Amino acid sequence: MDVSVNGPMLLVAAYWVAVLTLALGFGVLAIIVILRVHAQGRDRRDERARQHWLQVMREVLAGHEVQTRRLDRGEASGFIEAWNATHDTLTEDESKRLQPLGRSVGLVDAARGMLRGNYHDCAMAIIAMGHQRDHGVFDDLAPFLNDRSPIVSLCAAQALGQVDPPRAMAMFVPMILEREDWMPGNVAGILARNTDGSAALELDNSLLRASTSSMVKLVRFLADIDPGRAAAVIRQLLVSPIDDHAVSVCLQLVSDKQDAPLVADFLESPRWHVRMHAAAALGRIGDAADSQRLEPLLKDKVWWVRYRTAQALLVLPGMGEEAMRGLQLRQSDAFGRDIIDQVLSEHAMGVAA
Amino acid sequence: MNAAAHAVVAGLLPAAWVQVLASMQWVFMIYFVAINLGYLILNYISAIQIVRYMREYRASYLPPGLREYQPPVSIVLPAHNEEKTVVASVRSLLRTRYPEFEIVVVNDGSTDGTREALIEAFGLVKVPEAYRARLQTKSVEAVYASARCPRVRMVDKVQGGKSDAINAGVNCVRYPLFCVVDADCILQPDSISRVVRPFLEDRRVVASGGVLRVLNGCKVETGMLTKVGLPNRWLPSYQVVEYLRAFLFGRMGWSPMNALLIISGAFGVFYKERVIAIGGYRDDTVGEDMDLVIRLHRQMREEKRDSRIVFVPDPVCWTEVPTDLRSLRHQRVRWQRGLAESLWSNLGLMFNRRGGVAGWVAFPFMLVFEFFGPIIEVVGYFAMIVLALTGLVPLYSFLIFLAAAIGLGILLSVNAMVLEELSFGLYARPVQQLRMFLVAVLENFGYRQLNSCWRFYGTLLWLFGLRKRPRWGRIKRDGSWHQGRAAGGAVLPEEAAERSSHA
Repeated sequence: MDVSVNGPMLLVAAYWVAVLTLALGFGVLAIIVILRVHAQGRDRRDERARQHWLQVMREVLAGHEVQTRRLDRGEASGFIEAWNATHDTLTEDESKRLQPLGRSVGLVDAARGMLRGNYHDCAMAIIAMGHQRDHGVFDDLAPFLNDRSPIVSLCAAQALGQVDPPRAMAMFVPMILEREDWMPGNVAGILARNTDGSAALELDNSLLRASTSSMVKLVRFLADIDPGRAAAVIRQLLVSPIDDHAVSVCLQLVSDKQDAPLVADFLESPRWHVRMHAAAALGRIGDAADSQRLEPLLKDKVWWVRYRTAQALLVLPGMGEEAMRGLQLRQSDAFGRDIIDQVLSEHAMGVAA
Repeated sequence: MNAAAHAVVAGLLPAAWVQVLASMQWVFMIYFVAINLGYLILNYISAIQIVRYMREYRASYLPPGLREYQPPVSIVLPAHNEEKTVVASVRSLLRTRYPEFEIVVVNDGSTDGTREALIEAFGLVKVPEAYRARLQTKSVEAVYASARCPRVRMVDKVQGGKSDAINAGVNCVRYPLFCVVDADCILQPDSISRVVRPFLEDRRVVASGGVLRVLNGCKVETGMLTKVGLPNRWLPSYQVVEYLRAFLFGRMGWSPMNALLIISGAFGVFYKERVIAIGGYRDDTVGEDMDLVIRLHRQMREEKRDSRIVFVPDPVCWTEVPTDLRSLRHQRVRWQRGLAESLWSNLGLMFNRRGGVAGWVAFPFMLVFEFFGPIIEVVGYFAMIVLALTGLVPLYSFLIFLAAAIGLGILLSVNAMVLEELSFGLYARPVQQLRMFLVAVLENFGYRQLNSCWRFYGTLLWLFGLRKRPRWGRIKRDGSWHQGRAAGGAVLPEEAAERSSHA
């Protein structure tokens, strides 16, 4: 019988597959163990440095006289970790008290060395340089604002914002529209930390030049840091709406009572999410008279619209459980009655979505 | 080969059958080369992905501000006769560090005190919720909410199985994303954040899953993982390596090609409207998790919607694996039946004009290597033994092929260990690596073959329709990881690994 797999070529191949895979398996295991031992050693060294410098920083912050020295080779990573962790817990004024320590240990030089390292080291070094607030590092950090990595570029934006806020915001804000990969939460966080007003100014300038669709993106950030300036933009977008998404965003942000009539116009929108946001907005900024405008939405075909409407009605001035019960009695629609029951029950329990 | 053995085999098997087995050797050979090549390619794709992912993950020191932009998530916890664990599970979920979430426990007709335990623990009371049955389920008897824990609600319904319970939960959830969690799984405080992250980074994402890890050998205090360790027993140890292989390159490899066909039913996040659009979970299959993901692929492609189903290598969910052969057999038979049901009922995706990599590569891969694989493997083992006993394959050839098969098996397992080391390095002590290597060697002598036999049996059960209506899967658990005392806080995996290294 011809049993092909016994052919000498195949056997030789199988033999070498066995030898190579077993050798590779053992080789890879050796690499894993070496990597692990090396990583443990590095972690121990970084941890020792971190603990030592944390203690030094605590003493500096406590106002004690501390003898310092320039960072040793291999200490930079541990120092920078301690430096960043400590700054996270401090106010801006307290943070400044650590700057002499940063200068005396040669933080900027050590961090510059780490900028060429891996992502983690690079991001940590950028943040550390930002905390040092040394104007000399601005040009070192500025190129990282264009880094492909959203993490590194956002870290650079934060650090630049600490070093020279007006210059940083002039670079950062126009990039918000271009960088789709920047998470809105991070952008908002960086803008919120700006205290000299340059972020709001730059956003305002960008809004003047922005297309209507870009305005929607920017107005969210402006509403976070300067609601007064944002209100005018929101009003403009509500008066001449571009699409349902823009309207929904504006309805979520609107907070000026004088915009209530404008908001009420959207209660009859053909899109349910616009109706839902309009109802919720009217609950925030409307008055007792608006209950008549909201009431028809209690029998809306979409549950979320009914739910938000019932919640909005409950929080309108002059409304309360009793008024809601009265409203419920007037409802001919079972869905409307049910949703009032649910919202009142949740309100009584302090539970709401 | 000794003559006695030859005579016994010749007596048992007609010569024609032996001839057939001999001529099928090319099939086994091609299968063996193809499956190992396929997994090695997946392995290298995963390695590239994980290195790229970890560069970002390790640099995840971010300015605060993300929290308020994370979308709210509804956690759906289906439970059936979980009186002893459900309260602890909900408490553990309440400790998650996610900013805005709700927990919807679905009591699927429990006959023990599950409902009463929840009512008592969280002060639940019936609310007149305007429940919307967008997905058809067994009757919902009541919805409960709590003033003491406003995040917790309970849906009490007539028993309909796990899929039915999840569908009822989906009907009840309020947020655009929902996360299904098994009642017996342990999460970490940042599990939800990690799996939701892809939704923030890419608006095309409709579903996201993460890595399941083996809980046996770990320590859990007050519902949170506090120390990562390896199990002391062999059976769960084999499964540690198996899970690493399955998740770190079995799934991670498909994700960048948007061809991931399964997100574990134990933990996954989904965009609610997309799940409702495909009719929710099917209640007539035991592989409801895989079926859902494949149907999502089909629907997205039929609608020509640019969407993504993604997988993150983060260890987000820890589950206790079977420690006895009976439970393990039951689980594997069930998984294989689920796989068969999911693949056969979604054959339309394969080689579909719009199927993409999922339809043209991943689906056929699953069909050939995961569905037919056990059949080929079991017949292959049988054929090699018969041919060796009859002398048609000389003993030295048999041993060389066996060594090649074992060598490739070990290489795949060790590659999974490298991926683990490159990513989270949870098994931190060198001795743990050595032990896992030993397990990776030993699993080739019996464990893998046993698994193939069980899966083969599962395929037969499905093929001959010998299946009961899907209900709740149950495995015997020893719970040795659980620490009753309330001391100690929850830790992140890297912290847990750190503790483990000093244990």
